This record gives sequence, C-alpha cells and structure tokens, in this order.
Amino acid sequence: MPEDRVAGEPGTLYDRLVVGEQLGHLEYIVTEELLAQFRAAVGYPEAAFPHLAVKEYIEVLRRKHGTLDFISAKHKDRYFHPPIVGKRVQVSGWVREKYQRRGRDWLVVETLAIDEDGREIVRSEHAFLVGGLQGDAA
Amino acid sequence: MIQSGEQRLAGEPKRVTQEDMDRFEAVAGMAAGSGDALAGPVNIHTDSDKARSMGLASPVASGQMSFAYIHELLARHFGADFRQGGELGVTFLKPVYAGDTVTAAGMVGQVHRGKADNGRGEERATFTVEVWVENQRGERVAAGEARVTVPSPLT
Repeated sequence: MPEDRVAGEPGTLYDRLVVGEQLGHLEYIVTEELLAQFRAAVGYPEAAFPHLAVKEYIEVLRRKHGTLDFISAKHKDRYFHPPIVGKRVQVSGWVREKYQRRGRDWLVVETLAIDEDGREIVRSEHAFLVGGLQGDAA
Repeated sequence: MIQSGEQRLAGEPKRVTQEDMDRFEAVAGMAAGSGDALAGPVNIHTDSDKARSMGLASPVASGQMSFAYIHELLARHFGADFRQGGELGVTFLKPVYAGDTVTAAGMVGQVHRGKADNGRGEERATFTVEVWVENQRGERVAAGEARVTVPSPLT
C-alpha cells in the first residue's frame, strides 16, 4: 500500500488534510444512461437519482489528494431540487471535521451539488473511517 | 399520504446481488468520468482482495445502497415534498453482503403542524421519521432519521 494511503502516520494523506480545506471540483452531466444504471442498481424504476449516487464526497477528495481507503460510517443529506437529465452538475467539497476515536482516524467531508443554472440540488455530509477494520473481531 | 404520527412505513425487500453492487459502483465511475456502465471502480464493494485488505470477509454493498432504499421508502410516501426539502441522516451499522435480503422501514413519530409564513395562510406539517434497513435475520444494518415538511416550502 502506498505511503500516502496509510492513515495515522506523519506526513500521510490523512495528516495533510486540514479542517475547512477546499477539496477538488467534480462536474458531470446527468444522462439517461446514468439514471437508468442507478435505477437498475437500486431496483426502483422511478428513482429520481436522489442523492446522485456518485460518492461525490470521496471523489472531491480523490481529485485533490489521490485515493484514500475508507469505510463509510454516516451520511446525511438535505435535498433542494432533483437533478435534471441533460444538465451539468457541479460538486464542491471541503473537509468538515477530522478526529480520532478508539485509535482510528475519522474524517467528515461536506459537499454541495448545484446544477449549471445555479439550482441547489443536495448538500451532504459524509463521515468515514479512514483505513480498514484490520485487527477488529469479525 | 401520511396524515398522523405513529404510522409505520414498509418498503419492499431487496435481494442484493454482486451484480447490483457492481452496477451501483459503475454509476459512480461513470459520473466521475473514470469508467463506463460495464467497468466500475475496483474497491471493497466490487473486489474480494480489496475487501480482505480492509478487514472484510468479502465485498460489501455500499452504505449508499441502503441509503437509497430508505430514500425510496420516503419518496414513495412523501413524494416531491421529500425530494425537494427533505432531510435524511443514516448511520451504517452492519455490512450487507451479496445474497442478503434487506428491507427499508420507518415509523412516523413527531408531527409539528403550523402555518407557512408565506402570507397565504397555508397549513404545513413537519414529520420526523425514524428509518432503518434490516436484513433477513432482522438485524438493522442502517438506521437514522428523516424530516419532511408537507407541503415542502420548495415545491
């Protein structure tokens, strides 16, 4: 595993993250194909692509710092307007919080998605455990 | 339409397959511009070796899939009022593996009624809903809370 993917060691990616730091920018177009793929994956033909399902929280992080291994712990959304097929979605994100608990590194990333017309789509907060569960009882 | 508190919401059982998990991950890859519908990211949701390296027995479904099942439950009951203005927070409690069958459910609790401050004297109700997803063993794999105002101020 590359050095910058190891959490909790000096100079690692996790250590370099700063609370309040702006992360990378993600843009994509909501296509019929994307929507169809999402609907098939969740088994709900009327799904309105509710929370984008693109893991934007980790994508904005990856675009600035590279890959980080993590396990999701909590997710919170506030919905404003559903995304519209054909429109470009822009996602910005920042580091909301980082902390250690039970000897493990935790990270909270917040994102805001808007469309090309400036309509807010969803504001999200995602908390995850950096690294894995190695050493835990199964 | 939900009218009062203490009403139980029940979703449809979903049998989660590795194919579903791969497809779900592919959506993320498509949007990120790093893949297509057939080739999603390699991660703990799609790859056995990657899952084992993170201390998991085998690939696990993304927590976002459980999140989507709860989203479906709320969208079916509250419609556009949830999709525009709703809030949902979920904690992921246990892994969901390929072959598991999970079901989203909820219980409408507190209801706060009042008039909208839009000058039209419109009645509004804000519902707080306890939500969860349980597996075929009755174990909760995800749980949290949603809040929906009907009619939504955004609709």
